[in-house]
Amino acid sequence: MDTMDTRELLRSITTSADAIPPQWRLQLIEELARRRRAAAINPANHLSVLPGRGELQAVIGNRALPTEVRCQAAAVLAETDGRSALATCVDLL
Amino acid sequence: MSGILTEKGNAMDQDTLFVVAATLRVEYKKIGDGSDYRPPPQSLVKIVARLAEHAAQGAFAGIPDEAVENIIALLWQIAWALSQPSRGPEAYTLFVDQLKALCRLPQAWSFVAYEALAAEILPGELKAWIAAGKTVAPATSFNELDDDTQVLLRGVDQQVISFTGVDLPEDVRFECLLFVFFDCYLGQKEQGSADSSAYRTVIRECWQRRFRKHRRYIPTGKRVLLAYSGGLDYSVRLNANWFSKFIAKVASAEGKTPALISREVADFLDSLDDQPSPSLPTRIRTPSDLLKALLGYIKITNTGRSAISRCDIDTSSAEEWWDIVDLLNEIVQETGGVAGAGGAAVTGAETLLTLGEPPEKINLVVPALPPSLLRLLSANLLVANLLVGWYGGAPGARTLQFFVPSALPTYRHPEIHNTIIAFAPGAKIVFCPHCGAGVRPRNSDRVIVRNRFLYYEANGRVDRATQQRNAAFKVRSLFGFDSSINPGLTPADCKSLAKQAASREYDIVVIAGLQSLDKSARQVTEEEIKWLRGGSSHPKIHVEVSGDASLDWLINLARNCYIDSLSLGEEVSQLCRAVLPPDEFVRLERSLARKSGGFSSAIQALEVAKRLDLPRLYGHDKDMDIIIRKGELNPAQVAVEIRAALVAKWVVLRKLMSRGQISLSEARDNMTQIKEEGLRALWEAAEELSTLAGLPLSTATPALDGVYLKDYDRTIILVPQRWVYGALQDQLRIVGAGDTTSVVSAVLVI
Repeated sequence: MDTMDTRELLRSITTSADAIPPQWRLQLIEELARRRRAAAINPANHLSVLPGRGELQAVIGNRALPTEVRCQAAAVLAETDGRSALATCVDLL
Repeated sequence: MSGILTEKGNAMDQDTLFVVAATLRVEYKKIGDGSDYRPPPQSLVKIVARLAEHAAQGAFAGIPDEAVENIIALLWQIAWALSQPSRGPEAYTLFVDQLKALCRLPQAWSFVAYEALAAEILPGELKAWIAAGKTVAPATSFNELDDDTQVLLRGVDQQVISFTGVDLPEDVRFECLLFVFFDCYLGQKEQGSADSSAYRTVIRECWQRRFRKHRRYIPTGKRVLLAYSGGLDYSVRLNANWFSKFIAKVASAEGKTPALISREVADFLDSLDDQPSPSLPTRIRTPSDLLKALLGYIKITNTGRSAISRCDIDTSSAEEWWDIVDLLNEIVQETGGVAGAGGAAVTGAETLLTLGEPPEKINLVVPALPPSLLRLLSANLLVANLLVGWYGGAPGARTLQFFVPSALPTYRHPEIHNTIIAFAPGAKIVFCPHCGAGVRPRNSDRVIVRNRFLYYEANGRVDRATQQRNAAFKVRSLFGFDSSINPGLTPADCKSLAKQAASREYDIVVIAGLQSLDKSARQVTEEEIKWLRGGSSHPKIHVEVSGDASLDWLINLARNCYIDSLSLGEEVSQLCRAVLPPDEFVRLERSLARKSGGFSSAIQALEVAKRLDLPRLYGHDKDMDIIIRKGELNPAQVAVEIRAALVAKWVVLRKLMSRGQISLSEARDNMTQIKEEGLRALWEAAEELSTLAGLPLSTATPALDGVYLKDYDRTIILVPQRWVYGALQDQLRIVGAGDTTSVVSAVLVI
């Protein structure tokens, strides 16, 4: 998982629900969270693997995905970009 | 990306609310982290405005309350954090004002606001309070609290009222404060957890909210007969001191030195390591056998509870058995063992009574009623008694009279003494002070040494003279009582008693301990149940399974439709094995090999419920309770089951605490608000059930509201355990909590 790039990670997370066990999907999103946190500490390090705001919003807004995956994506976005995360909430509501 | 997001004004759903809550939780955490982060006020204002619009349009109807309440609570927590002096509250005035207005709409939200802030403010106040060395005694109402604690809580009340402006009656506020106070007091370690994961948002917070919400027992007024199991439970804590005394007595009884006994035991335990399937003494003939069996079970069992039914002391007439019982009783007495009324029928009746059920409607029938048990029962509990005038010649108001046609002699009653030996998993128990040899339990936390009926002298020793007079102890039926007490009781008398009981028009008959009835009593007992069930009130029958004995008979009863509700603990696996054809059971076991423990128990319980066509099954598993109901329950029916389970868990815990089985200080060190392992187990099981039910998108629904499984035609609901025990070497486990919880839950639901 460490070697997957961000797009590959996101593709795995958003792939059809039947094709991927829930636990594996949660691990993927946790990896995403880890990368974002690392990037927040030292932006120069992880830019190439940093998921963008739009990509996370895509996960958050995708009702075909498991709730916990969307929640985790929302938490990841809020950790590093609270303004966008709250704006996304307003949109969702 | 906005195209992927839900359009504004779309119908509200649970998942969206969880996503919003997850975001707000991170925002709250960031504010509380001590940084100077401030969320944009306009976003918060907009979120509150949207919620107000949805509430006005009734958009939250049909969504579990907890999902909305999570958000309301988080918004208030954020508002409180932002109001602290260093934050510059002026930018958030509009946000707080709108929040106040929002919570004036439904009163339930006022309550959520009050509770959220009470939970926010109390831990800080409590920290200083505990640092000052203050303690608190258990209390069930605000007024029972000592003055200092009341002053503390009134101070918090003023802060919350002044900040939120909520308008709630004082009694509602104080009750809320009391509950939050005990939650914070008991669960200090959990407070301030920084976990902001989806797990916390989706599962943990919602269950926490439910646990706080559902704890008021409202008496049902149902007429309940609780039958059969009653005895004395002696709880002891297993430690080096206990073993030292045990070994000394074993050595003395067998004419050996304690060192030699220790070595023999150590050798025996070592030999278990070499056996792929270790075998323990199944026939306990000598004190050494008992010692080896106890230590062996502790060593090899993963759950400890699996040993319960197999670690019985057989009370045959042989005198060497009585020596062992005496020896055990001596150690129990010398190590300060505490006696309590035991047996699910007795603890169930006692609990229902103290919860406020009308005394005239809670009736107990037990096979024997010795003074030692009678002393432990509430004075107003109605106990069926055939032997008029037996205790002191004054039956008193609590005796429920049955007319018995035969003239019955009155003999002394035998007693059941169970010894619950509790210990802490993971902590080494040294049994040899010389060489330091010991045993380390894995996950187990108790072994119960059971005996059946025996006569005891006042000093606690087995009464040998009486034993010789009454070598055979047989209980004739639910109403048969022990044959040694009333040998004149005929099957016709038993039937007559059942008919008389049926005429009392019970709503529910709780039968516990049925499996230990003598085989010869099966037919007449089945007749009695039939009579009871056929009474004009058509009472529901709830059966508490205890142990794995006589499962064939239990299955027969269920197949004859005599059981409306069945409750079991660790027996689910044995019962599943008994109801499934062998090859199917093997296939099932294989298919569950890689699954979580909670899911495996759930599937086994589903198989049992389906094969026996049970309307209801309540399984108290290690980390969570599993409730199975026939058919597809609607959300309101699911809510009733969940509420009953949570209320039962709370009131049983409080009752056991108030009886002094555990002290509050022990509780504070060992309990959490919700058993964390329970939530984790529930999360895993829900995930697997979700897939099984063809709902791969979310575990939230099965984890919170249960799920209907078409293949089984059953709705399954999972409820996490509330408390953790056994974390410290010195703590006694709460005995009977599982059984009593399921009895109370059944009375509330069926």
